[in-house]
Amino acid sequence: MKKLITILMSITFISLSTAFAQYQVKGSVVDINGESVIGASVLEIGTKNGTSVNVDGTFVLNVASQNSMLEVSFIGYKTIQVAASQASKIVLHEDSELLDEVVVIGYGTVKKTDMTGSIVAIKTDEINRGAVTSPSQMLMGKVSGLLVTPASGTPGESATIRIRGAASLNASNDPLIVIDGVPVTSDGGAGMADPLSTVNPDDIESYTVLKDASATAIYGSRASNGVIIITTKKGTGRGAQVSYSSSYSIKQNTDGYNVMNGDEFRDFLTTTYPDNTKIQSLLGENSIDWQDEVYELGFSTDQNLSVYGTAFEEKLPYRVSLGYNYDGATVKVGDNKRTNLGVNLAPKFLDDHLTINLNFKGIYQKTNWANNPMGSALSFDPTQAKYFTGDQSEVANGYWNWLNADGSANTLSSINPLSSSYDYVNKSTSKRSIGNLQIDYNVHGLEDLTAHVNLGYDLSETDGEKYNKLGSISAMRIANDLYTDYNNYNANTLLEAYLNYSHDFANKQHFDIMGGYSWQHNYVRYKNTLYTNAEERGLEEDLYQVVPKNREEYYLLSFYGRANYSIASKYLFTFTLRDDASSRFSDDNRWGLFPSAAFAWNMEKENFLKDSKVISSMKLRAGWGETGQQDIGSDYYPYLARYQSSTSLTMTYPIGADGSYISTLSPQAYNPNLKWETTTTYNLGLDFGLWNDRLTGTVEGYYRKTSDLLNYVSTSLGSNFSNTVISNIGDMENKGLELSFNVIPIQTKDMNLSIGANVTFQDTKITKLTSNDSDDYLGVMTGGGLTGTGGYTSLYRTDYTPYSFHLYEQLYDANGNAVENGLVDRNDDGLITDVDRYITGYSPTPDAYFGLNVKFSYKQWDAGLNAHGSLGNYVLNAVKATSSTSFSDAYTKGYLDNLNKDYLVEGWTDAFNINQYYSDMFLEDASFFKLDDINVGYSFGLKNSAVRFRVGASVQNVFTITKYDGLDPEITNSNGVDSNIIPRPRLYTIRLNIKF
Amino acid sequence: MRKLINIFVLVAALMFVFNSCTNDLDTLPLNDYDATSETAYADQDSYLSGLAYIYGYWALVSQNDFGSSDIAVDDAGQSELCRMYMVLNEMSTDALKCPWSDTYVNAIQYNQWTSTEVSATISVYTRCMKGITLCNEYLLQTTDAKLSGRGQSALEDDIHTYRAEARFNRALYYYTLMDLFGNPPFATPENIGGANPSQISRADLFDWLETELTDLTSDDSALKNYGEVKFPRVSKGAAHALLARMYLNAEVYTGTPRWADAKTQAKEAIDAGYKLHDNYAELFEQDNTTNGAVDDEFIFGVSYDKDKTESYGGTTTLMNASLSSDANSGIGSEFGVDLISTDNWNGYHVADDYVSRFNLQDVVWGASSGFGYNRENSDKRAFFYNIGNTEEFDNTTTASGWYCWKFNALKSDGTVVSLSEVNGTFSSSDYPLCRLAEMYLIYAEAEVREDGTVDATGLSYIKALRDRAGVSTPAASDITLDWLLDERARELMWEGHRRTDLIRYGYFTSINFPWTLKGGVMNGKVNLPTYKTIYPILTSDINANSDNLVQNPGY
Repeated sequence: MKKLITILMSITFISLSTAFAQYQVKGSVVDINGESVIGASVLEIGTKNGTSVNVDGTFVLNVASQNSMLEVSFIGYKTIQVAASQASKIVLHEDSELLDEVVVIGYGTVKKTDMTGSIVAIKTDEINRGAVTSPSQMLMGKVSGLLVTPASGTPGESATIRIRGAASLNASNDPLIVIDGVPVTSDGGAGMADPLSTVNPDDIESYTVLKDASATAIYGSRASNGVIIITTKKGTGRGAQVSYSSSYSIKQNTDGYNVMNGDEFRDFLTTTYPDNTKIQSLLGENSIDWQDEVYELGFSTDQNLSVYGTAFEEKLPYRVSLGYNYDGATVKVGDNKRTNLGVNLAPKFLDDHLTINLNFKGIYQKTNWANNPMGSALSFDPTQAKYFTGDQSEVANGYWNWLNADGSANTLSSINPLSSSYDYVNKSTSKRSIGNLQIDYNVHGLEDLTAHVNLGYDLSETDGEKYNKLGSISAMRIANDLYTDYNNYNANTLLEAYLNYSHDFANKQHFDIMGGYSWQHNYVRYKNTLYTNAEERGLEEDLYQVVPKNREEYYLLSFYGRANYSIASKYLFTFTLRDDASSRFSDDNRWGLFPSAAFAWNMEKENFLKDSKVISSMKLRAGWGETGQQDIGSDYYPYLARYQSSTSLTMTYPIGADGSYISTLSPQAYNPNLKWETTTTYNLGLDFGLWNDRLTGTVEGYYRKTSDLLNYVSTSLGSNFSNTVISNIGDMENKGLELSFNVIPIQTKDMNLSIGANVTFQDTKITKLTSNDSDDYLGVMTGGGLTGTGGYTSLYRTDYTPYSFHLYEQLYDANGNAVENGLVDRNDDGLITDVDRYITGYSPTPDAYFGLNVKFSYKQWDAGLNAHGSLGNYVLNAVKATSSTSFSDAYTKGYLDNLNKDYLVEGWTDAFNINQYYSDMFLEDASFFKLDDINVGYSFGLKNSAVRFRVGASVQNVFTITKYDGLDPEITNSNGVDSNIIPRPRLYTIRLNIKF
Repeated sequence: MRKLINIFVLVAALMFVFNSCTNDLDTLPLNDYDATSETAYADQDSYLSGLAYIYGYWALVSQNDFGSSDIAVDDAGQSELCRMYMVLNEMSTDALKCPWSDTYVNAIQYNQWTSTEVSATISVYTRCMKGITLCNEYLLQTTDAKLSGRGQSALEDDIHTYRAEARFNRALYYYTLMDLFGNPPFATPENIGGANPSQISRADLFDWLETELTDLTSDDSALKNYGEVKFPRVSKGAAHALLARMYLNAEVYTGTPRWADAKTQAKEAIDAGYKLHDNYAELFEQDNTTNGAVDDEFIFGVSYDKDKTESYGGTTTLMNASLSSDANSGIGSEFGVDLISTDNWNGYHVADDYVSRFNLQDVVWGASSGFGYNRENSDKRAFFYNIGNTEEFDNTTTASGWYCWKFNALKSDGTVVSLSEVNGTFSSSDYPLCRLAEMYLIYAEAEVREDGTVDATGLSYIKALRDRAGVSTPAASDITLDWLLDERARELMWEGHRRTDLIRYGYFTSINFPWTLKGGVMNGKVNLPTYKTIYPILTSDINANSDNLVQNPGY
């Protein structure tokens, strides 16, 4: 019986097999040079049936029939589809040969060869990447003119992106980010600061970076800082395919500050103040390394699953993806958890004349914000215990802290780093969704005309709470310990419609014109409710204050158009015009016109280059245009004379009946003449490819001038309600030269090496700040944060780069040692005052920055590295400035503060005159080179299976070369003052990708 | 044809969308608290709220919280008007020195300020000018015509009083500018949103103030009488008192002395109904709003409350800025409490030059307990402490000279406010910008200036102050101008009078009246340039209003 069953089953199996595999394909796969492409994957479309090319360069696959379609793909090559009957010799073409590549631009697409503006398109690929938690990381060091400053080590924090430097002092300098046709807001509220993080990096198909005005002017009053367009992946191919990737990272702090340990601190104080009994009485007996106490190993993981293909008889391309990211901090305590869902449907109807494109992206993020413990870890007395003991063991939640005689907290001391980490809670939950419905209709009977409608939205909401744990030292120190319940909601809705007419004329002329309209509404609702901190939080009776920032909205209306005209694909002309209105400005200043024009010349098509053996492509581009910046801050009605009635319960005055407290009403400062900043850009570029594009590159120069620059200028007192009012009064210039090269030194069947490098030289200076700009006008004092209250470090000043350091000149003795409180009295009046400062000529803005990317593959192995760096950026080392002297009068206030061994200046034992903090001796060259990541991977398929794998490993934040004395030369403060950030950790990552 | 129809339909559809949306651009604020003047004053309670910010602007740095400022300054907490008013008037003299290294502290305490603005001058000048602008706007918005336009004529009686109080406040802001900066911009309601204000000379401002304040004291004045409104609201006595102070210093402001007028106005203020509170210490204690002291004796001043009127300036600074942690607990133990102030910022000190005017009994240095003198037998107006400090005053260390704890955490019942209480950092004690005692002293000084000696009334005033302080009253013949200056130093310490007094006496700039670190010189034996009797007009305001403003001479 058993035998019978076995025989039956065998027969069934054999017949089934033969039913599905009636045709055997034997083929070879080669590249254009005839070299075998080993490891290439061969898949029978619509099935899971597949194999990979063996070491001979051949494959064998049984398919359903000779009409079955095969898909052949390999990393670095263009995927092709061939019929089984045609598969005996398959030639794969390299990706870089995709000359017809289409690039997504504002309101349309353009063929790469037809581009006239400064546009860089990057396709994401799997090869050269480490552990990426945010899309902005993928752009770091990849594009000339694009500077990405990564966030600190705090999970959930966002990177800063600048395209061709900052164009503004007071308005936003963030580029406009357009995700699948929806311009997204950059102020999504706490927990959702980075609009890029809305997109799962794994879902991104391509980035387009629009740098010059001829490319960006189509976005008008939001485009002066450049535009980044993100296009997500769509369903392709036939049937259903699955892609899964998974990565795990260990994060580790690599460096710390060299503060004294307990014994060193005791010895030091005893030696320095031998007779001071007060100090001796304050010293403890322990030796704690507080940095060790707050650092910990971090862990992060990224999981992505996507299913894509076409359904309903190949009528409905679809892609659904699900991502999960966990990112743990390397200091106690914090993490970020993010879940992304992405759906794209792109069906076509009416003989392919009507295309519907439906995008949905959802993100759900929970952040546990780490409280930066670095400041207290550096300064907390290392001789004290971690915990209170005995009778006191309940005090301050048990964490040892400095107390006054009456048992109250010493409010001036630093606090126990463990308490700083564990006793503070700030948790937020964010939800965001971006989606749109795009309809393209190719008019029947007039196929040159296409109508496009785009309905989009971007909704986000963040809910959070923050408080000090009851009984904690922070709660004890604060005059009024509060529990904050915060909620931010942002709704951005969009309606766009345009018509596009495109026509090829007989004599190789091409013309297309597009005209459209856009309406956008941005609505923000903030609600911060403050309660007295209590056991049961958020009770009505504990209500303290509803922070008066409630609901705001603005509208943008635009008409825009673009015309392209080309002759023989050789001479290309582009004109754009946008008429923009923003409700942020008064009726008189509401509308603005932003034009641009560009010309490009594809020189390789000319006779004199046509036959060149060396030059494979060469294009000269020139462009001009104007763009604007209407995002001038969080006040959406700055032009309007307004009254504010205060909702604060702590800022009232007792003039009511019987001395009752009355809330205040006050007129607010305003500027009725306010309008946007305008930036005019000139751009000249040369793209070239040599030796069959083995070497490609771009050399590009730009000049940008921002006029009507917003500056806070003094108002005549008595005529307005503040001493400064924001006004369109200044000018600023940006000049730059960008070079980028990609070279492929090795390109054989087994081995590929590609090296990309780019460098940007830039020069930014303010050319006007006030209406009369006399030499007497020092400029706007800015920066600071060095000494608790007051003080500034930098200037906005005419003829200088923004944030140019304005400091005192340090005095040195005959031996070259810095003299404590010795500053140069530049005006010789016997006093050191602000007028003795000088403009150092240095600023945090780099003179040049660069990126380097290397990709290498050998057979199934791949490897890569990414690096970036900058030159000529200066940093004021605030950590050093505040810990250079051994003197501390802290003991007179009842506590002790630890000192940094490296930063103590020999012989400096006095109290600092406040000006000493602002000495140029603390200004350092922070030029650096960082190896961001190195990675290696191995790809393989299984025999007789379409399943493909790649396993990879990477190290991120590998090393930094710099002369800078602080922890990290790449600081997150735009003002160039380095205060303690949570250090960026090193990551060790393993990664697995599976596709079938 | 079909093509044309297709195009037409598309264009028509798009045009429909365009037109329906252009009105969206006229969006107005969505929040109730965000209003225009008309919507704001539609609410009847708003009139008191508008006046609240005018009064409160001495204490409040913004409408939102103590950590944010409504004007551009370095630090919100240190931009409070009352705090910096006190700095400009006391730190520039022998009454106050501070080892903190803030730029403004050194510029002011060493008399080394220049035309470069520092946060003390920025804050006082800007907040007084903004205070004036708030008053001007209030007067524009509360006319009878405006009220009737809003159908609120029934409110007229109350609002006439509010307007008179706003005018007094405006006069006080102008007076402060006249005294400190000499020749400020003269802002009128017409300047709001209009032309920049012109400059007014000190003498012309004196005349304007005289007219304005005299009008506020007249029978027609809508200001109430003493007792009809509660401090910090002002009554007619306040206008008399400010006139008295102005006449006392008239020679400085205009070149012409007005001693008789000073005496007359001081007497008017004294007779308005205020009375000397029987306990000097209680005037400055945490519950001075409720213990009777403020109601009795404060003519005008600044109100604070640790929960409802929070500020890092005013009496919060005066209470917390002075003491080291040891001094804090040391003084506390003398009163049987843990701490005498809620925090130890360890900054404000007093050199012996000033303290010696109190004739303290049995002063010792280097003791380990007590106050450093016999407080029982000394002037009750002395609140000093020297334990742990060296006698030789050295402003580079905190452990030298005297601490002053006149403003402290004590309440009348002997208990203290502590940091561990809700909002414990903040002080609730009100600050006197003008007390009845000052009127007594103005009367006496004007008498002596006019007649050479004090009359019986003047002597009775002096005696009342001396009796309360528990010290004997000298014979009328011993009450000289210099004695009166010292008596003012004792009675009105840290109440914002010292600089004005020294200038009136001609001592402020004179080498013959040295004090430690005057002009930045240790023994203080220097002449200060006479232009330092007024502070410079803010350079930023001159830049913004260059057609009208000229810098004060000397700067």
